[in-house]
Amino acid sequence: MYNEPREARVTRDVVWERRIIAARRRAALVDRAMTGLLALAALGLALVLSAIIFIILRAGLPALSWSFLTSASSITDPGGGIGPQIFVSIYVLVLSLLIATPVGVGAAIYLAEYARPGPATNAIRFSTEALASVPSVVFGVFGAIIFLTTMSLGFSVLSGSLTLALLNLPLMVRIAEDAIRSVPVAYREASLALGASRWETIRKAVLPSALPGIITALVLTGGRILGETAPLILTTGTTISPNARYSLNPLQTGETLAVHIWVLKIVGVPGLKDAQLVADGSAAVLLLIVLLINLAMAFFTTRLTRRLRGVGRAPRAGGSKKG
Amino acid sequence: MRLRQGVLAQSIFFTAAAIVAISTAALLLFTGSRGLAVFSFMGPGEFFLGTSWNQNDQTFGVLPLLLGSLLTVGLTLLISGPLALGVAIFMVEIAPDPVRRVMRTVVELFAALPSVIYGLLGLTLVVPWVRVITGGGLGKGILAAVIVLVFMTQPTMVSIAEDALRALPESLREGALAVGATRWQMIWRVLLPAARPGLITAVVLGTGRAVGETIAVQMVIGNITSRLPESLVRGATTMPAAIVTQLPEATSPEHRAALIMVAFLLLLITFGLIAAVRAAGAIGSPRRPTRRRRLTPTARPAAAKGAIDV
Repeated sequence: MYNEPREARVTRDVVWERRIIAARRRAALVDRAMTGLLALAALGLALVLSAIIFIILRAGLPALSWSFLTSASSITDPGGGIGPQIFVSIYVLVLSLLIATPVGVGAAIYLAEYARPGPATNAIRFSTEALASVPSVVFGVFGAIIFLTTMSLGFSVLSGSLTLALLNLPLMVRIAEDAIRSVPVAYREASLALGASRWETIRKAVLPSALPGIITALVLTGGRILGETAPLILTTGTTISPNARYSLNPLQTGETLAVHIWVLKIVGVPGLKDAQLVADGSAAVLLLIVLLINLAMAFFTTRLTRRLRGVGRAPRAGGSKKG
Repeated sequence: MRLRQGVLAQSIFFTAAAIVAISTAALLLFTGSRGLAVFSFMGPGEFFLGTSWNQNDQTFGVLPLLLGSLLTVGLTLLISGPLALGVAIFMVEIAPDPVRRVMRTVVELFAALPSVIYGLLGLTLVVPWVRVITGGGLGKGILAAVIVLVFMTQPTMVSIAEDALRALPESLREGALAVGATRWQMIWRVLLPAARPGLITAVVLGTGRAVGETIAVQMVIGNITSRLPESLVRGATTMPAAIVTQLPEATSPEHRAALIMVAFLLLLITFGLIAAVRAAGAIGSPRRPTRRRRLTPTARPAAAKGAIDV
């Protein structure tokens, strides 16, 4: 090496330098190409979502009218509405939230405030996690076994609501527990220092400031209940009895809006000429509700959190800009 | 009085928590026992290796359902995994803040859309498109189901992958850039390997979503259970789709038991996936195992004491 002529050494250095420059250039090129590709993937996803919303609304909005939303559905003549389906959807929503909320929030309070590490707590935690991973159709099958057959409730609004309550328990427990845990320890300490008991502390100090999170849990669960289809086909059934359209009897069979779309498109209603239009209209209604829920959540969670925790009234950096 | 109230409150909350645990146990127990009843009608071989599921001649071989699910989910992952990973990388490493916020809303809305709307769109857009490119046939089949599922699995995968990438320490990025790596080299050679456990979790949970998806798949796959899936564009079925199609009208005890057994298999598969996620987490992150290991020494003396007492 040392007796190598100077020129040869220089040319070797030049060759290496060229290689390095070429490699750098290649890397920069790959970098740019991959950046473009990744941006394209994200853009594609956003475009698909806009297309989905646009297509559903374009097909469904012409069908919407007050009479469509309120009148009863027809299996023969065009011009039928979705009033009974909307009624059943709300009924199932309210009933399953009434069942799930006490259990879900109660379990969350237990896990966040009372539970001590041990086998019982582990079992509860593990089962919540396991329950969250179960596909919704399996809940439907379970509901069909337990509520329809064993408890002989038959295809009914009550069976469906119980099934959906069970399905949504894990989500509710998780969000409510997070909300309760995120309440500052200082609140508890202050309350206990004033001589309040543990239960009084939970009721008067912890729960009020965890309320926004608990409401979030309810709204998210509500959105899922409105869109749920498979478990309801197996538990509430796919028909609404014509002589019990707006009946509050929980043992009636029912058909929610989401199930109605499925029935119109898959099971088929042979005599109905405007089935496609009714399905499109129902899909638009469902989509609008879902969009509304998400928008409302985005707007209100921050504001609700501030107001209920009493932070909104205190002057804060950045907070005064909006007011 | 106050004490009694406190005790009452605690026991009520414990009951609520116990209901959750009991429900899970009941779910396993009832689907398991009712499902395993199928083996009083036929042998396990006939059930697990049978290539036809036909309620008319009472043959219930689970392979058409199982293979249909396997093909659908496998193909979905091949497309949606890289796509979700790309979107997550874009959101964490490339996009400026406003774009990132828009993308997060997009992902949240994908998650919020009800499956029946995905199914409806699959039926009115994807199925006709498949019919056109294959030049005939019904258009319903695994391909249509895969296209729908790719979008349905995005929210799960993107949000978990995003969290995994975001959780990486900034020093990794700084180190890579300091030695002259381009951004892509940093992502490819440093960030992705470092985030691997989180990314695996993302894919596994996305798999769970795809395996369990029912209505959207049922609407576009054609629901042919009587034979093995023949091609991607001919009618097929998946496990959940078969359940929701046939259970409401299943009258014979064999048929019901067989369908419940399929639900039980589905349950076992999802529990298996959760176990896989936990295993991936335990192997991947070095922090968790040490924390767990630290717990055991305190547990061990207690156990040893108990042994001495006995």
